Amino acid sequence: MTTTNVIVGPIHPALHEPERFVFKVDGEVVVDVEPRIGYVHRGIEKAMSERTFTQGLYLVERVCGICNVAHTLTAVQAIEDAFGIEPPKRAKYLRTIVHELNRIHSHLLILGVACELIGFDTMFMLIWRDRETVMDMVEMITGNRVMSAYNIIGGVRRNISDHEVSELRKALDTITEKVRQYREMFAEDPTIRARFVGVGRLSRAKALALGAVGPTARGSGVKVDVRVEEPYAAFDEVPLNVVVYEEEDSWARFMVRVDETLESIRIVKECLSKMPPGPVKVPVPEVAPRSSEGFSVIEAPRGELIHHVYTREGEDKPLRYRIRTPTYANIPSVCEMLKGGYIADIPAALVSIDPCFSCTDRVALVDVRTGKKISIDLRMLARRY
Amino acid sequence: MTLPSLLRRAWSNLFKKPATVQYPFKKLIPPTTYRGRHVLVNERCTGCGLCAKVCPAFAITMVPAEGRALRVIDLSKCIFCYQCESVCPRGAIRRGRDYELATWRKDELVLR
Repeated sequence: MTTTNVIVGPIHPALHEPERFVFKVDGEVVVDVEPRIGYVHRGIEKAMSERTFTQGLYLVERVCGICNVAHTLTAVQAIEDAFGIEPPKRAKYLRTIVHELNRIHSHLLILGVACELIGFDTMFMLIWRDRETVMDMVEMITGNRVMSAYNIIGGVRRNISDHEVSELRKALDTITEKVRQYREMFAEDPTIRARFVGVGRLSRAKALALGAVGPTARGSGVKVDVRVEEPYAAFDEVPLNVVVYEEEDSWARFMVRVDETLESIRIVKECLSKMPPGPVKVPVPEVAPRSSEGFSVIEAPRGELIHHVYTREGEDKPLRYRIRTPTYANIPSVCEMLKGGYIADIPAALVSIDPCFSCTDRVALVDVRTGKKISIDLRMLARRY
Repeated sequence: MTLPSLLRRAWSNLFKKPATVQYPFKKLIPPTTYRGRHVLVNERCTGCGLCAKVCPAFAITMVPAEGRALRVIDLSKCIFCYQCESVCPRGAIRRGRDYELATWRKDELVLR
């Protein structure tokens, strides 16, 4: 069987970020996929160890603009773990509220983008119009639409007032009604069903074998959610229903997101009513009080997100910082999804994992003459660069 | 096949006001918590340099002025995290709501 190479990217209209995929196609059918990541590698892990813990928070926030709250939340939890401090209860609830608002806006964003990619621009504009309500709420609570800068080590930046709580409740009520309508549309609309049902199949066994995370795994019937398995922030007190769909295709993954949005709205409402009074932050030492390591895993909008930090006693900078983002874990799964599909279905399958490539990019050293990958140990790297 | 419910909504939206705002003519007022252009109160600044030390974007420098050090914020570097505002012990950097920061000259972006 002879195959032709179709190269998508690094610059391509279907992808919003620079990433290169080589599709080996036989006629119209994709036989094999070769991803090539690393175009927007920014060296954040190295830069983290050259900044103080507080400064680093604003850097991890910029790993991904869309799930910025998820990144800061993981970072502060990891650093708190290393420092051995416990944030106040109210701060945990506020973190959960902003984290879930972040999830709502991220899910609405990708639902809109998915509709745009299949050429359904009306739906895209409607969804993005209603997403703006959530953005306004985030702006009201934290101070900025996107870059919230809300979580700090030992708590949150500012408290929430009664007026803001009532505004938030009002906004959530309107958005609930809108999302219910979108759920109906995603479930029944012939355009969406024709484009997403049966596209990008990822069987349950493959999802488990390839380590899919987040809505990608849940769309394939794998019941996995960090919020339930390892409750963080206020999730140990706020019960959560894990949304799982068994259809194993792009449509199932989007339905997981729509239902999760409704679930997130419910969580925010429950947090608002359960939230205890009290302080929102505790004083934190500037330098690491002990040589230790901190680890934190949370459920970001795209799946599980891991931050791992090493600290040394008396130093105000982390020794080593490691981030593992959900899209990075989902890349093998998306390659599996694309195999056996048509070229025209590539965008519809690719968008269903909610790709965030600037989170994903890692560096690999390749010898240009031989094409071999080289690995270099840390000491050698520090000496040479 | 059922009639897409979107069709009904798209039709009703035709007779509604647009969701967007005609920006330069009509301006939105951000909430009081908004992080915009800083308001500097120089009389309160003691020149301790905490803000310059903590700034994640390295946008604040301490320059000598009137026999003491004074912080200068470069808005072209600033990421508007307001860490300087939270760390300032004397309230010499305050919250501002001005979001129209575009200018023709770069030195207008340096707050003194």
